[in-house]
Amino acid sequence: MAEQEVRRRSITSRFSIGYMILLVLALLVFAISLLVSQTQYRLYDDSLDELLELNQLFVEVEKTNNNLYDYFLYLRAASGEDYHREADITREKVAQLTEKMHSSYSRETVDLCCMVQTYLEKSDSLVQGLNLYTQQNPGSTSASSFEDAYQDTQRLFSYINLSFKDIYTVQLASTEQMRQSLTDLRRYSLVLQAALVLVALAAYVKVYRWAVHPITEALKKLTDFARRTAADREKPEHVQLDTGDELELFANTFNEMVDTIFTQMKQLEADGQLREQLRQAEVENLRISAELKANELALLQSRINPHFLFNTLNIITQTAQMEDAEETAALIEATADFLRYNLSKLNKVVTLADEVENTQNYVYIQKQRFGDRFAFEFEIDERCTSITMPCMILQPLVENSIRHGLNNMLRGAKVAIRAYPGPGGSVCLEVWDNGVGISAEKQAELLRSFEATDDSGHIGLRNVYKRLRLFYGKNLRIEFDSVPGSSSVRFVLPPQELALGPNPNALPNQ
Amino acid sequence: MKKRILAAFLAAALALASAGCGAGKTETQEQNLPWRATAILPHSDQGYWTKLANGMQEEAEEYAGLNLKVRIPQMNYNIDQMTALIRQETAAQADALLVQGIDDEGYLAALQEADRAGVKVVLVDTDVETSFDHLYVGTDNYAAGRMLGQALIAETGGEANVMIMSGDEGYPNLDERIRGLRDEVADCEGIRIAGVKYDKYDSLNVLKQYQSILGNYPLVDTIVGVEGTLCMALGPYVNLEEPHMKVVLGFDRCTETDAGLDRGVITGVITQDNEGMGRQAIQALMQWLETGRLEQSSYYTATSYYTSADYRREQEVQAHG
Repeated sequence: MAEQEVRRRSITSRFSIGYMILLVLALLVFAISLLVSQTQYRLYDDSLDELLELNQLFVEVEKTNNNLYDYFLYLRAASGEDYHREADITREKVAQLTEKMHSSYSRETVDLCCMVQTYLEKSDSLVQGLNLYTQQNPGSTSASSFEDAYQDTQRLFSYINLSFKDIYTVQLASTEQMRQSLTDLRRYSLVLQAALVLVALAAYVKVYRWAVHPITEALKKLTDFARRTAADREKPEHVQLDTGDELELFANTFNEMVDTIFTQMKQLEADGQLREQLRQAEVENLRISAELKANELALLQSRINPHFLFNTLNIITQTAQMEDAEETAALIEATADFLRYNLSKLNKVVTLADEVENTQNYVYIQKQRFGDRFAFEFEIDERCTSITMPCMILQPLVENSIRHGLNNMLRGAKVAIRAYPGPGGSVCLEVWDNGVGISAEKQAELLRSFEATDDSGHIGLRNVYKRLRLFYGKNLRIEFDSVPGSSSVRFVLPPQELALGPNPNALPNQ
Repeated sequence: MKKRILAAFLAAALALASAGCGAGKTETQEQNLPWRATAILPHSDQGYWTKLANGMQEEAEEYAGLNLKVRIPQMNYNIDQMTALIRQETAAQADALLVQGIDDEGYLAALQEADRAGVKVVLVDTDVETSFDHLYVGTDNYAAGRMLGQALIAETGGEANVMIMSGDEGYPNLDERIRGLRDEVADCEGIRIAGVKYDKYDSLNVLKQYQSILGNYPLVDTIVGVEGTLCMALGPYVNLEEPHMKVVLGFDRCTETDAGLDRGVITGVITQDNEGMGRQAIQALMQWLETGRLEQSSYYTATSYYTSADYRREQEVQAHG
């Protein structure tokens, strides 16, 4: 039904009907103009034709009368023949005019024709009488009767003359009347045409209001709506069209489209806000995570220091008892360096060189404690000394070797501290000893302890592992390579940027 | 002898030719065209004859088969010109002529010639004796004269010295009216007719004659006009403050006569039904043309006596709606 309505009032049908109305009116004006002009021409032609025919008749009557006069006056045979010829022509003209009276009656013309016929009858009679007279015995009888008859014809001729004048007068009056009628006709035609033009104008206005105006108004509304839609962030009011044509359909579709766009925009805005909240939550999580890591590191370090410090102080005490003061002084210096390193760089990133130096201090301290019981060897690749890491990584590993691997060896115990480039750009930190080794079960236990949250033993190694994991991420690997008499714990660090030239962090000679 | 026979033959031939087509059918009949009738009226007076012509034309419009032409001579009441018009129409083979009957030799000869040519002659207003069959339509003028006589006796109480004013001589209708008038008052001894004034009257002439009668005929106290010009002239111009006629009687109404009736200058008039006369003339003519037979030779139209009191009464009635 709605589609039918749209079709019925579609823009095409409106324009078609409008143009058809204007075309019909234009044709009407043209037809009336044509009709009026044709009527005028026809009336003029008819009037002129009638006058010309009457004039021809009069000319013929005059010729006939001239021949009659000549024949009556001089009895010339040629004039008699001319008379008959002209009289026949005159009769023919009369017949033609009389015939026309059936279609276009004119009393004056009929009277004239009849008058001419009367004249011809009288003149024929006269000519016939004169013929007989000349054939018989001319001059022997009185010609007075011919004189009377001739006068009679001339009286009739004068009537014809008068009648012609009357007709001309009537024709002139008629022509004047016709001219007036034509003037009136022209005036009426002009009025009619003007009226039709006014009607056409009214029709144009009506068509404009009916066909064009709704479209332009609708387009204006649509344009405003489109401008508002483009300019405003807020969804504008729906454009309302009641044109019943394609534009109304278009406006409804436009409204639906704008609804869809704004719904999607709202959704996108909501998604964006959600994403922003998520991002902020992630940032907060990261911040909390980092803080937790820092706290955890601090906690771990704080748990290390008292323990180490206790041991160190014991050693200092024992050393001071067994040896002289110089040794003690060296030991205290090494201890002091060790403590300074721990205290000052607890929460800082250090280089491998720093770690090695700190571990050398520890080794020195341990040597002072155990003498030759333990041999320490540093195998540090110069290219790796500049890599960065948390502090206190190597020393706990060395301490673990001494405590767990070599504790029962009274002599010949060896510890090797190694750093060298691994495969794929990685760097390996390794502490080797020739102690009892780490059993597979022990290795599994150690690995499990790395993921535990409680302090269930293996604090040193777990502490090192966790701090390295925090620092390097999940790409950190720990490897155990252990048999009795040869055991190593190796951390494979993710690929690091190694020094290519002379290393400013080169290690001091051991 | 032989020459005489020839001359006689030629004369007969010419005479036959002069008769035109009177013996045969007219051109109109042969061509199956409308009947052509021509009314030749004595003048255009914006009064009597105009009304009569209007009646004819209105009635003629009722007949599709009739064409009526009205012709008027250039000079009013010019009998020669009217005669010439009759001859022209005869030459034009008109089917009928409607003319006033005038007792003039040439006029009547032209009508006789028309009759011989087959033209039907209708006399209106005035009848005359003719040697051919004709139709008369109009007032019974003798009866109208008698009606005028009755009015004269009634208005004067049978005691008056009367001067009759007629028109130009030669109009039988006027003579008939006078005859009727005289016959009507013949037995009334108190009515004394001083005489009859004939002239070709126009208004100036009538007023001049009126003054002349007042001056030359001191005993005359009543004027009776037997045609319309008398009352038409006296109606607006007679001064009632000055010496004037006691009774003025006349014929026919027109605006000027009505003014006289209103003022009391005119005592009364015999009115004729002019338009009815014209209508009746056309009706009777058509019957004659279509049947070819003249069933009735005279048709009299109505007349009545209309007084000054009648006029005033009418005006009063009209004024009060």
